[in-house]
Amino acid sequence: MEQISHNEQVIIRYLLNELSEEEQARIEEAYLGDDSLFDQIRALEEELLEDYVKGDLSGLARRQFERQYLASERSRERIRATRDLIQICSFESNARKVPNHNLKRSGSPLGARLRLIAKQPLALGLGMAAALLLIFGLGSAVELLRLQMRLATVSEERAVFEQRANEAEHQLAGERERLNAERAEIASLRERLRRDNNQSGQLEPERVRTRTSENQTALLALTQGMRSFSRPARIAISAGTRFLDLQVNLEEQEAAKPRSYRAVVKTVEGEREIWIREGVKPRRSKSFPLVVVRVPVDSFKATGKQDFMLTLYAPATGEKNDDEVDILYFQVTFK
Amino acid sequence: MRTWDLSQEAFFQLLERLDVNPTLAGAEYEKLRSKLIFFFDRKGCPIPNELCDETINRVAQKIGEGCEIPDLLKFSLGVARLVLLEYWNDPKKDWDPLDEQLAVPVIDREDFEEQRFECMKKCLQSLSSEDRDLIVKNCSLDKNGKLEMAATLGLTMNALRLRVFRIRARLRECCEKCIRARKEVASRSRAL
Repeated sequence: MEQISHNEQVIIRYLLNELSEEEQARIEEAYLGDDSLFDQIRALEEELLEDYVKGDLSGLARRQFERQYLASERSRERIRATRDLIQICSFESNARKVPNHNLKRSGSPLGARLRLIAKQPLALGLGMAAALLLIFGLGSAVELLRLQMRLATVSEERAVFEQRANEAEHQLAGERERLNAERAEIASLRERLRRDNNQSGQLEPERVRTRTSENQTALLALTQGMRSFSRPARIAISAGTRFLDLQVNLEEQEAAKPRSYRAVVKTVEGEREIWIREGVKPRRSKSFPLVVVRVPVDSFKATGKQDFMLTLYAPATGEKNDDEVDILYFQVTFK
Repeated sequence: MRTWDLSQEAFFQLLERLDVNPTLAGAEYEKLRSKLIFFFDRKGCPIPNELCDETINRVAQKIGEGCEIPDLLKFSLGVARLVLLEYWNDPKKDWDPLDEQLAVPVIDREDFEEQRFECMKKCLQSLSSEDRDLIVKNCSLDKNGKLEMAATLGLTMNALRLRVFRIRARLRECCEKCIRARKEVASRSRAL
């Protein structure tokens, strides 16, 4: 409690609503049981109000203050009262600085000097009196002008403050409206989503059938990891699929050679050739080069087998037999 | 929001819990009230007085029912938090009539501000010259100036701030009395 009562920064942060819920609760429990802490908090709050009215709060602090203190009529009333007090004190302070024109015969130093002047020749005395009056008059006029300027400044500040308060009120009202509109929109979107979910639940089986019947080509990607016979790539072909695209990712060094391939699909058992295509050219995807061959599904079905292999041959230069570029194993089953 | 009228017996029981000395109990009650009003005001409630009264009503009700409350102030704060939550959940319910009563008609705003200004000038003059000087100087000084003034007076900054705060609290009370008196005069002259 001692630490909190002396920690003015924490109190100011509490007043500007910058503390966590836990920290706020600690301070609230503390001041409820400690009258001097409560007075300290309220004294700091009054100083904060004063700093705001005088324009002494920095940009961020001022914005935080306005967010907290312009939100309620009670707080705005306190700000107006503080402004009035500062204005009154300013008048009071300036009034004390105006010189006292009341001359007293009874022993005031100024009165003695004037009596001395009066003993001089009349013309000189009149002239000097006139000069003194002129100086006093000018001084009063200057002081009056200064007070009027000060009053104008204070009035301007008051107008600015009231405008800020109105703007903050409008902004707050606008944000409340926007928040309500967003809440209504969220509720409406939730309702639409709920309706859509209900409808899509009814449509889903039909949509799936349509996709299956329209999808006549299946795709099987064959990558390096599946080149081992013990771990072949697998695909289950559904009824209605007419073609199987076999996609082979080429290594970069292979792709760098500008050549076309002969693709041969065989059964693993007996190595019976079931499909051949010459002049297969590689394509460039986003990340790597690849070869795609489209094999009729009937070719696989007719064999009655599951295990197949795709061999890519590239024409060798100066030799009779083509280079065997790659062999990839895969399985095809039928649903 | 539930309301429960504070019975005289429950109120006396509450005062007794605040302090066994009846003279001091009243002061303690006022302190509790001002702290709760401050709490609700800091939380942004537009009707802190009403929520404070609701809180005190509920605390008194619990005392009246014979509930064991080891720490009355902590309990009051807990009730205040609950009242605050209920208010934010449903700000309009049961509070509309009070809101209408409390609203200051726009047409009286300028008159009110003029009256407050005049009352404040008058109340400032009613302070002792020492207190008035302190308030006037404090208003015109910046932070460094206040530090110097505190040093001149042999006070810490905190002590100076508290002294100014207490004088301004008396000024505020004087101002409120003055405004009430002027309103009464104005309403009597309208009646005539």
